[in-house]
This record gives sequence, C-alpha cells and structure tokens, in this order.
Amino acid sequence: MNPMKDTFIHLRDLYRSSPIMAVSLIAAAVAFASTPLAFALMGRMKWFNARRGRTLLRPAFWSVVCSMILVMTIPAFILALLVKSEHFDENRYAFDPNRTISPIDQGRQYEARTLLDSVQKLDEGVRAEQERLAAIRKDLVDSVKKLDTAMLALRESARQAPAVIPPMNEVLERMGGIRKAVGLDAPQQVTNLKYDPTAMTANAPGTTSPIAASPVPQPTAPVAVATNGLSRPEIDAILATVPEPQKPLAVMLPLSDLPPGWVMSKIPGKAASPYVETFNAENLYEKMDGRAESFIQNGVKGMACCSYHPKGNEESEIQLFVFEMGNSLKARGKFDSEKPDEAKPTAIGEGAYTAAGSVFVHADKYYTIVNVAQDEPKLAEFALDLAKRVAALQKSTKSSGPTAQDLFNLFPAEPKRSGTKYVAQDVFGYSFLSDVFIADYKSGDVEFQGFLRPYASAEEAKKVFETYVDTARKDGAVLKTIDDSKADKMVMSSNIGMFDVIFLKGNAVGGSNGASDAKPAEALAREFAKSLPANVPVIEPDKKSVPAEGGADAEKQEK
Amino acid sequence: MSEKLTRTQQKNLERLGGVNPAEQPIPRRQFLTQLGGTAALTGAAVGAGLIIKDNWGMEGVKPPPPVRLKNYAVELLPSKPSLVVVRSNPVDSHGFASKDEELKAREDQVLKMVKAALSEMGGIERFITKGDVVVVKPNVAFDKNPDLAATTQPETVAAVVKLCLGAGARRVIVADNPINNPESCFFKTKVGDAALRAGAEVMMPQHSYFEDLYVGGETIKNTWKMFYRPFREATKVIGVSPVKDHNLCKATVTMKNWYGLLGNPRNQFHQDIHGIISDFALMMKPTFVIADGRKLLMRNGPTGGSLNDVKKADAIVVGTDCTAVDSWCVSRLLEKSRHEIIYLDKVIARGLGKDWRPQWTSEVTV
Repeated sequence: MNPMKDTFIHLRDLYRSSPIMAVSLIAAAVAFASTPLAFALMGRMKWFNARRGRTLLRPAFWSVVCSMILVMTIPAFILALLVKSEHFDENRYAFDPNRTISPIDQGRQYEARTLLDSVQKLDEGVRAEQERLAAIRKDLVDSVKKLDTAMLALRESARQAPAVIPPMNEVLERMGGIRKAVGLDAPQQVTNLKYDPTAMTANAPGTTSPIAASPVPQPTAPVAVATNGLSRPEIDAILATVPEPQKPLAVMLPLSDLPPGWVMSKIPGKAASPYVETFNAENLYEKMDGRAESFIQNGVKGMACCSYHPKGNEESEIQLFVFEMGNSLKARGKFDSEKPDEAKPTAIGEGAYTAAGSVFVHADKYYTIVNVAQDEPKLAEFALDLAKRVAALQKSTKSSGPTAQDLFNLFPAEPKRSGTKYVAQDVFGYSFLSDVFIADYKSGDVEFQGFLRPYASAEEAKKVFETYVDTARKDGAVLKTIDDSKADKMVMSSNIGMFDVIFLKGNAVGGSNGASDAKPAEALAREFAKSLPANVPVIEPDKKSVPAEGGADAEKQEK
Repeated sequence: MSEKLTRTQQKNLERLGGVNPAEQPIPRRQFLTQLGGTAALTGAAVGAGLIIKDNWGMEGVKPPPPVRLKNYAVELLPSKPSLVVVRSNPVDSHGFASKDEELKAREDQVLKMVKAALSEMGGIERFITKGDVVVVKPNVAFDKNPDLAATTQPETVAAVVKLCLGAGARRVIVADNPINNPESCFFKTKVGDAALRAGAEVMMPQHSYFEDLYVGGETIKNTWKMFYRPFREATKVIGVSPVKDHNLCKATVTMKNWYGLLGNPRNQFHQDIHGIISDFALMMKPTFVIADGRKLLMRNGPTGGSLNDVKKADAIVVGTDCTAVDSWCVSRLLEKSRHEIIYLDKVIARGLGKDWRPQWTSEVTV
C-alpha cells in the first residue's frame, strides 16, 4: 500500500462528502507546515529587527522560536479540532449533566450497587441450588432406572409364588408413583402380576419371553439405545428454557429418535435453547414478520419450531412449526386459508395435505406445518413421519355439541360440491362477516361458493343480513328481492357481473357468492334454504372440531 | 496650553485656526449618540449571550443530529429506458455433473441478464464510477432456503457485486437487518456466501450500527432508528429484492425491501403498512433496483409455505424507480391486480414515483 496514495484517496473522499471540511483541513495543514519557513525567511529579511534608539537590533533567537511556536499553535488547534470533529466520542454521552452527582445521589448509587451485588449473589445462589437439585434428580432417575432393572428378575420370580404377588403388586404400584414423581416414563413394568408357574421356565434361554408376547410395553433395561436426535438431558435442558405457556407445544416437537442420517439443525446465537424456538402472539413477528398477523387473526396463542437436516447436508432442511390457535375452528380456518389447489389430502390428524413434499396438518386446536426446502422423496418421507408424530400428540377430545362437519353436512350436495372450508375473519372482504362455513360449487362452467353462518339468536342473524344488504347497496350493487317460502328473506345482489344470493332463515344467514351466472346462484340458495333446519346448531368457539374431508381420525391413525 | 508644542503640533494648530479640538467640550448630540451606540452594542452583546446561553451544558452533550440519506440516484440519458425486463430460459438442473457446475451456470446466466439490463440503460459505468462505495441491499429477512423464494436469490447478489467491482467500485457492502437471526439468515439463504465469494463484504446488524435517520414522511414523521452504518460512506445504493406475495401489503418487491433497514420495533408499522412503504420512496433514492423474478412466491408470503407456493419464471427487472418496477412486477409476475397495491397509489399520489409506462420500458431476451 502506498501511504501517499491512501492519503490522497482519503482526502478525495472527504472532499466529495464535505468540501468545506477538506479545504479547511488542507489550509490548516499548509499554514502549520509553512510557518517555520516563513519565520526563517522573514528573519533573513530582517523583519523581526526592532528599533532601539537609532539602531535596529536583531531579536534573540529563542524569542523568535517561541513566537513561531505561538503562531503555529493556531493552525495546530484548527487541525486538531477538524480531525476531532471527524471522530465520534463514544464516552461523550456517558455523562448526563442533568443527573448531578450529589452526595445523596452517591449514597443512592452505593445502595443500588449493594442491592445489585446482593441480587447477583442471590442469583448465583439460586443457580447453584438449581444445579445441585438437577444433579440430585439425575441420580434419583438413574437409581430408579437401576431399581426397575433389578426388579425384573424379582418380578418374574414373584409370578411363581401366589403369596408374594399381592405385596409385589403393591411394590410395583408404589414404584409407578415414584417414577411419576421423578418424571420418568420408561421403562414401564406391568403392575397387575398374575400367577404363572411357567414364567421362570419360559424365560429360560432359547424360549420366548411371555412379556415379549404380551401387548403391554416390554420392560427394557435403561441402557440408552443409539438413536439420532437429542438425549433426554438435552431435551430437559431445552424444555427448561421454554416459557410455561409454550411448553406443551415444545413437548410436541420430535427431538429424539430421529431416523438414521437425520440430525437437528442448530440455531445460531441461541446458546440456551440451540434447537427449539418458541413464540407467543406478541412476539411471533420475530419469526414471521408480515405473516404473523394472519395467525393473530385466527387467535394464535403460541408457536414452537425446530429444524432438521440430513447429516452433512444442511441445504436439505426441514422446518417444523407447531401453532396453537385460538380453538379448533380457528386452527381449521388457518389450515384452510393456506391450502393450495394442488394440495394432496393425506390421512393425518383431523385434516392434512401434502404440497411439494411439505405437510400441513390441523388437529384439535393445533396447526402443524412441516416445510421441506427441496422436493425430494427422502425429505417428503421424513416430513410425513414428523407430521404423524406431532399429530399423534394432538388428539382431540370429542365434545357433545355440533361440529364443523355437522354444519358442512347441511350444505346441499348438488350442484357439484368440492372443498369445504371455515373462514375466521373478513369473509368475502366484509369486516362484519366472520366465522363462516364455505363450500365450493361448480355448475357447468360456473364456479361459486355456498356459505352458512349460524348465530346464537335470530335477531343477531337478522342484523347481519341487513348489514350485508346495506353494504352491497352502498357498493353499487343492484338488489332484487326473491320470494321464497322456505327463507325468511332472500335477496340477490349483482355487481360487476357477479351474482350473490343471501338469505335469512331463523338464526342463520346463508347463500351463494361469486357466481358469474345468476341462475345457479339462485338455485343453490333456494335449495340451501329449503334443506336448512329452522334452527341451525351453533358451534361455541371453544368446542372441538371433527375430521374434515380428506382427513382421518387421529385415533385410527394410531391403530 | 501649558506645555511647549513641537513644530509639527504648532503647524497643525495653525491649520485648525488656533483651536485645539481636543480641548473643546464634547457636543451634547455627539455625547448622546456615542452613549446610545455603546449601550446598544452592549445590549446586543448581552442579548446574544442570553440567546446562546446554555445553562445545563446540553449543547455540548446532546446527541448528534439525525442522519439523512443522500440521493444515490443517477441521471439517465433521456434516450435510455428507465425499466428493463430481461428474460432468459431457466437453467435446467438435470444436465450437470455436480451441483457446483449447476450453480456456476446459474451465476453466469444471472450475470448475463443483469449486464444486459444495465447495458440497455447505458452500461454499468453509467451507474458505478471508479472509487465508489456501493451498498447492495438484498432481502434476507428469513432463515429459509433460497428455493422457497422468500429471500433474494444468492446468484443475483453475486452478479451485482461482480459488476460493481468490475466497474471500479472501491468497496461493495452487502447489508440487511433480517427478522430472524442474521447469521442464520445470511447462511441459509446463501446470500452471505455468494456475496463473499464475489468479493463483497457482508455487514450484519449490531446495536451500534443503528442511528436516528430523518425521514419526515407520512408514517415516520420525524426520525427512526435505521441500520445506517453501511451508508456512512456509501456513494451508490442498489436494492436486490425477490418478487413475492405479502399477507399485509399484498406484494413485496423493491420498495418494501427497504423495510429491512428499519430498526425495531418495526412491526408496529404493520398497522399502517401502505403508509410506511410509501415513505420509503421518500427516504431512499437508490442508484437502481433489481427485482429478481426468476422464482416467485405466489402465496403465503412473506415467509412462504411450501415449494408449491413458488413459481419458476424467467425474468429479471432492473429499473431506477422502485414504483415502476413494483408496478410492473405485481401485474406481470405476481398476477395481481394493480389496484390491490395501495402503497403504489400512495407513492404516486405523493409525487414520489411514477407508475410503469410502456414507453420507458425495454424488454430483452438473453
């Protein structure tokens, strides 16, 4: 590097960004450098000679040098200020003159520091205690595991002695309590022992163990099986960092027992929980800014996610997201809203589909997304496996009330009905219309939708019906009342070549929407109004949903 | 006059008619005038002192004034188009022995496409001159694989960097403030690697890199924290964005790309997404922008759902006005109605940009 060239480039850049500054800098530097020359020259020309009476005397050399230094300090100061002005002093703002350090303040600061010290000590103490307790817990778990193993032989021998069985059963029952207390869910042992004189002989080498043949889980030694994924302590450590509300979601993420060749992806910069991220509705934007709002509209409560990739190939990543939505309907609403036309239904949870290898599942109030980065069979297979594992933990409990499927069953089957969906908000662009059940219809070349929205009372339904009609009128639609004895009111609205028919019947508002031909829209609305009961069941927001079209019962999957 | 006068003094006295003015009493008018003048001057000095008085010494410690972005735009020749669409058949991924070969072919193709677009507009030399410090702003908001089209394609960033360095740029800085972890985003989107390989330096956000930027817009009326460090010595700015659907503003192309420079809590602007995006037209006057329309995220934006949401296309759009580029891309690539994009209407209504016009557009096939 050429220092002259560098200096020139810097000066040129400075001149481009701040010409006055550059000119001042150069002028000050020239003045500084040329002062000794000027003094030498002027001394030679007797400029400093002073009159003493009739003679001119030369000044002392040192007095000239001193005055030269004094003169040089002027450009030197200017230079220093110019250079200083180019550099931001970080410490300059550390001092706040508004906060005067009075003796009282000093005292307060001392108190604060003392308090901080004590809090830090307390924190350290808590941490040390946590570590001690974790160590004790680990010992306890290991001991229970060893005890479990030791009990195997005892248990088998007890099956030969009827008198030993009752106390043995009680011991095993107690052990179940201990296992539960220490958070150990395996290995399990059958507690209901029965008399079996052949037990010991059957366990002899070369014979099949009756335990192995039994449907209950076979007791296994607590030796860690070599599987991919995280170990139990690692998972426990991660779960300990997850906020309590998101813990049930984080628990659903398959972090262990991954297929051979697959590993968890690490999240850079997350030392405490390097594999799992969790978010709530307030901070979901940190993960999916811009898209978070669509989940918030569906009442998202939390999300947990993690990633996987084949060993040595981080490009082929699979990302797993588990969302807890407001309720099962909202979960279905979000699931439906993201479903592409090319989706291939698959039997997982209460409704699922695959699209280019990615899997989307809704079950109960959960919406699960398994995204693959590349459309490869190996990735798709693992994605499907992950989705099944997560959905198995999202089993819904059937409620006695009406379900979404009950409402979809009320829709006419003709003309050709295809997909069904639930839309939570802003249905057809109307802010007053929410929680609507929609089915797609096709009559010839005309594609349109049928919709139904039951309300708690007939008054509420009437209000929404009137709002719908008013809004359509304000939007410039041409409205025509249709006489239909099966509906309380029925109106056709036509605008920019699209026809909607809306009817009010009892506590429900329904109809057809978005048809390019009036006839099929009217026919569907009439048929719909005719088939609807006088009082349409209403789903309470917290009621559970049922399997959708293309979905299957999670319990069936388990079997 | 008691003392003896010199000859000169005597001559002067004679010339003044024997009256020494120094011995005459001062006239009242002159006295009052002088007294008044002195008092006025003193009053003015005291007043000025009071005006600039700084009781608490805050003048010395108050933070520096908010920074403003320069105008990085370059004047185009009137005969040249301000928007160029370059089309090229996508590289077939099957005909290569290795992934590296395929990547090389894709990089070469994008380089050709961007070069062709800039040639139509007067050549890269028109935009980048020797010694320039260029900031390239990709969209690496999410830690996603580039195949999911939620982020800028890495080879496009590499092509821009190579062209800038080839034109004599002294430094090329690739910078963005992602939503997810920056290291993870730059790594998984492969933009970091592509930029470094092409010779750029990658600047990731740090707390001290943010400064108050004066915007003076509709939504940001005064200032907002902005990832300003890359722009400190920048002389040219280039935006390289994907073309994708957006849940709130319906489309993310070149103008929404500048959102990535804002500091947190920027999510609060989602309440007025169209207003904030239209403010970017005021805040940033880039040298040129590139909309990478080779992979389009057609739905479930901005994060993207699955590969099914991605559509492969064949266009790269280069322009000097974000408004025109965005307008072209939403209607021609994202297949959306132009009237859905409210922020473009706002920009045009505020006189900050002009809608796309065929006469300013050139289409090239490479």
